[in-house]
Amino acid sequence: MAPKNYCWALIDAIREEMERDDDVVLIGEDVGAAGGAFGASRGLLDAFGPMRVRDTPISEEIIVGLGVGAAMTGKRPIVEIMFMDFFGLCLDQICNQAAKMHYMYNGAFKMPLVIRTSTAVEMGIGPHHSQLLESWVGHVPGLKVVMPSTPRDAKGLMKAAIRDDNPVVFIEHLALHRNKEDIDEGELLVPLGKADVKRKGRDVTVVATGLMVARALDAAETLAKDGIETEVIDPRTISPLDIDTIVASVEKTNRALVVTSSMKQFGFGSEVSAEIMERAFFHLDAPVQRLTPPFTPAPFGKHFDEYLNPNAGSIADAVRAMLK
Amino acid sequence: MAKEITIPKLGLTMVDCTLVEWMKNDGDEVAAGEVLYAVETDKISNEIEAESNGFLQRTAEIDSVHGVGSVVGFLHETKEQALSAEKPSAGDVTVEGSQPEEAGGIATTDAPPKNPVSMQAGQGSARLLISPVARAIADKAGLHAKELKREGSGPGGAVLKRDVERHLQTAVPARPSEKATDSVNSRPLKGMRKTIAKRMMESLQSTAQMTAFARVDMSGTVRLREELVAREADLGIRVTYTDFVVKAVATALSQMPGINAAIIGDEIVEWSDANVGIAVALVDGLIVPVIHRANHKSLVEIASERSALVDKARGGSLSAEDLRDGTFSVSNFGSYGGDFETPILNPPQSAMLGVGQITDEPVVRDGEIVIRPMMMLSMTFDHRLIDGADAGRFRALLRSYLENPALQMAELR
Amino acid sequence: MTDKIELFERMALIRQCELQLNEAFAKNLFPGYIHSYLGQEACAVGMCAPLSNEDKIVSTHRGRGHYLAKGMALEPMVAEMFGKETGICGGRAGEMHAADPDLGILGGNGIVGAGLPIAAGAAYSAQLDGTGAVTVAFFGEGASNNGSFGETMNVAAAWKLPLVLVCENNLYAEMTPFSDTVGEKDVAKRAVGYGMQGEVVDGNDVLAVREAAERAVERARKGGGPTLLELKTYRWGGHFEGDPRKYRTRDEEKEWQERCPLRRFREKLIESGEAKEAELDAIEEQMKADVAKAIEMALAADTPAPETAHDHVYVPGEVA
Repeated sequence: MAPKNYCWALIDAIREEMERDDDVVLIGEDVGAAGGAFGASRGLLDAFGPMRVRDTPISEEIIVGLGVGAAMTGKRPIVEIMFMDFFGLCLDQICNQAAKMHYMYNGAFKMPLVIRTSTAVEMGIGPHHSQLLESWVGHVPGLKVVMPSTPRDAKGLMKAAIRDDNPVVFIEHLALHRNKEDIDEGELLVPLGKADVKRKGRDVTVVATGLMVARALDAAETLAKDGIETEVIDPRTISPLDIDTIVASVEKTNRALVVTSSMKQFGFGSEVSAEIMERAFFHLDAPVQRLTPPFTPAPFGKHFDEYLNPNAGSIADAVRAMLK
Repeated sequence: MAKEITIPKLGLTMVDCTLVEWMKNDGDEVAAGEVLYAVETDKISNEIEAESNGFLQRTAEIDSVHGVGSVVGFLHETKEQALSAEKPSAGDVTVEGSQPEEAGGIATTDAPPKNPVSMQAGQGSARLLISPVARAIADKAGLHAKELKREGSGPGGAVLKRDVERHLQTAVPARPSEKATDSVNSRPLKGMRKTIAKRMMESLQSTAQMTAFARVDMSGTVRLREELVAREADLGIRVTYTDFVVKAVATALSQMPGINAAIIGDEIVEWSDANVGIAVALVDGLIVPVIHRANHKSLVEIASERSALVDKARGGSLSAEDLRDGTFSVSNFGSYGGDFETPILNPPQSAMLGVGQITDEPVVRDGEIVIRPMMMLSMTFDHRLIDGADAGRFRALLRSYLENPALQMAELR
Repeated sequence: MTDKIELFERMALIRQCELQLNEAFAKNLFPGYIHSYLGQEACAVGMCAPLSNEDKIVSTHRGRGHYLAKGMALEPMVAEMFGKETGICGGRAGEMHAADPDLGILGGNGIVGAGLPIAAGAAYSAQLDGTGAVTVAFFGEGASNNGSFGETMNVAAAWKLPLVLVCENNLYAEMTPFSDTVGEKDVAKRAVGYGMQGEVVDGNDVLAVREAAERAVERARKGGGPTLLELKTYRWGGHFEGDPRKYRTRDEEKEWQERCPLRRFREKLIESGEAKEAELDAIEEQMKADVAKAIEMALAADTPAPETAHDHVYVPGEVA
């Protein structure tokens, strides 16, 4: 066991997989010589050389397209789109090409492609670098979408994503990059499509993703002092969603709150809420609630972030309101 | 305002009944307590009394069949109202059907009320607000939603899961005998609260209660518990202080059967088994499930059973079996910061033990001030049956077991 | 495929395929649009002549010429166009898509320009493996105005990818004359700005196309990097069959049909004594019969069971 931060856990995952399989390559802006725009590919160029760790121009469409073409011809590429906000520049390759190749050609091609990207929610860097857009890609069949909240999950999910034969959009939270956790040395795979119950409780289910998981756990700690036992579930994989784990929890607690850094409107929380309503309506004792930032772009500056985003206090308040 | 006359639930398994006779006619003045009508179920026949004064309007025919909670008539404020009131359509009367499908349909179409307060008034025309899970539990228990009408504690008076559970756990039918006032600060005394109120008063009025206290040095128990907690994985359960107390009580009761006793009628009965009840606080009330034959059970068995009973109590799934035949009760008010209190007996039991919190306190040992984890025991006895000396001996025995768990070992079987 | 008779045969096959599919469309036997390749046969056949099965091609929404030139079996290809379960992709890909990994055919595309970055990815893959395999990216002049073209040109040149970018300039981007949309009518000239070789070729002369293809493919195989070839040609039909073609004159169409790539090649072969007229007639008759049979089989085949829509959304299996 050694403490690793989220960023180094991801580097370890990629390095281990590149050592394990020569077909794994890393392609993107600044991934090589610079060691990653956020230092999240440090050491990989030296270890694997410039052919397997390829710096690209600032050309998002071809970054993903290179991955699609390489994946169709036997490689297992990881392509990096620096911020999720830039997905608008390459959504065709992600949603029309990568997502549909296996389907369209009746299984003739596999698409072992990881689209590594990050969200900088709550980093205070303004409207074009602050969005969590998991619902853009969660809406598209053929894609898997992953969003780890801990260093351990980050490592295990990245390794599983690289080995998966489907295109996986891997969303990192930059605000979590420095978080540390003890991680076992050696092989660590976290299966895609499996939620993690981060805390058990009987009174209310809180489904939280990414940055919100730790806050939900803080809120649960506070609520426990009042005798309110909160079950906290991190889906970890946005799509395909492990709705069974969530429904089983709601059947026990009869209440659910979904907390995300993304918008409420047409969002992940709406999806979870609707699934619960369809599958567990007769287990509900209160309407399912969503707690998200308001429907605004994120202006520049941390002071706005603090104002706009859910925190442990607002999560606890939302839970208390649901238990009235 | 007219009050509904509804078919009460007359037995645990009753689903419907036949109205066999009306004792009064339309427009008759009726006083609370007068017999209004008679019903028959597959098991019993029963005469039903008016719950309040008023003028009768009958809406159900003789020999018609009704589900629990169905409206069979109204009591109006004036004779004119009673005679001129239109009979509600059959649809209105049977809106709370017993089929789950139908119940589901109603729940999904219930719109939130514009004025939630009006829902609490519980008028015949107002729809019942009930959460989906509450509806499901009520359906499963054969309970008609209308019976829960005034029991909703949720937003806008909505009936929630906890309300149904409380209703089901309460032995007496949840029907207040007196109308609650319209004051916004009042609520009807009903359900579990009403039962508790009644039993507490009965307890104090029918027994001679005396409370004694003892300070206990818990060092030995704390150490032992720490060892057991460390072995939690092996034992399969986390042993709590309550479990130690229950075990000590059970052992002490075996030593002193005179404490494990009750006055029943003209007899004094000493029980052979120590069935120890544990008070569990609920959202609005208290319930005392029983660990039966605790004197024959190991600490771990007691802990497992206690854990299961508490979960069931909070989940509303205690059975009648779980609540029966207690011979002694334990209330751990230490868990919410209490030091000592005067427990009220749970008749016909003759003794009850209150357990305070464990706090580090300075005590004198061998002429020196040392810090020890101390706990206060509060014991209430029925002085009719138990003399001060016996109470003192029991208290000392209990203290010695908790201060020196090894001593208790000697008594274990 | 160096034999000229083979080139002729392949062009005749494509010609027959396009003619007879148009007939089926006119008889209302075809489900959906047809994006006809009529008139461009020399481009596909000339370009695929120097390619082996290890080499890859990426095609467009107008892809049948490319599929047949690269060797895709006629019958399952035609059945795919009709959306039948006997189709090469089980009938689910349809008129704008077909693929065969074993032949290096990485599929058509419903999105103009989207194949270019994918072709670059395939070329990068071959570059990693060092096998000398080459990727050919077919696209139209319309796609040359898409951002994906610029991104692909740049990365291909910067990385010296074994890629041949083949712009079939048929003069119309869907229903808009290409000349209305650009300041420079030669797409090939853009190569200079990206730092690669560019060449304009007569796309209706199969031998000229083949020569240019051989040069570009050879360069790519030897690590010399990418080439942009602009094949000047003409789309005989509209953007799709039934397009009223109001954006151009019938005289212009007639003028280009006189430069028919198949007839020009036939005349050249007869003139040079490399083939006899009767021999070529026989080939055309054979191709006609083959295509007629393929269409007949496709029409008789079943459509895939609707429940198969659920197949292949994801590659199954959990990673362990």
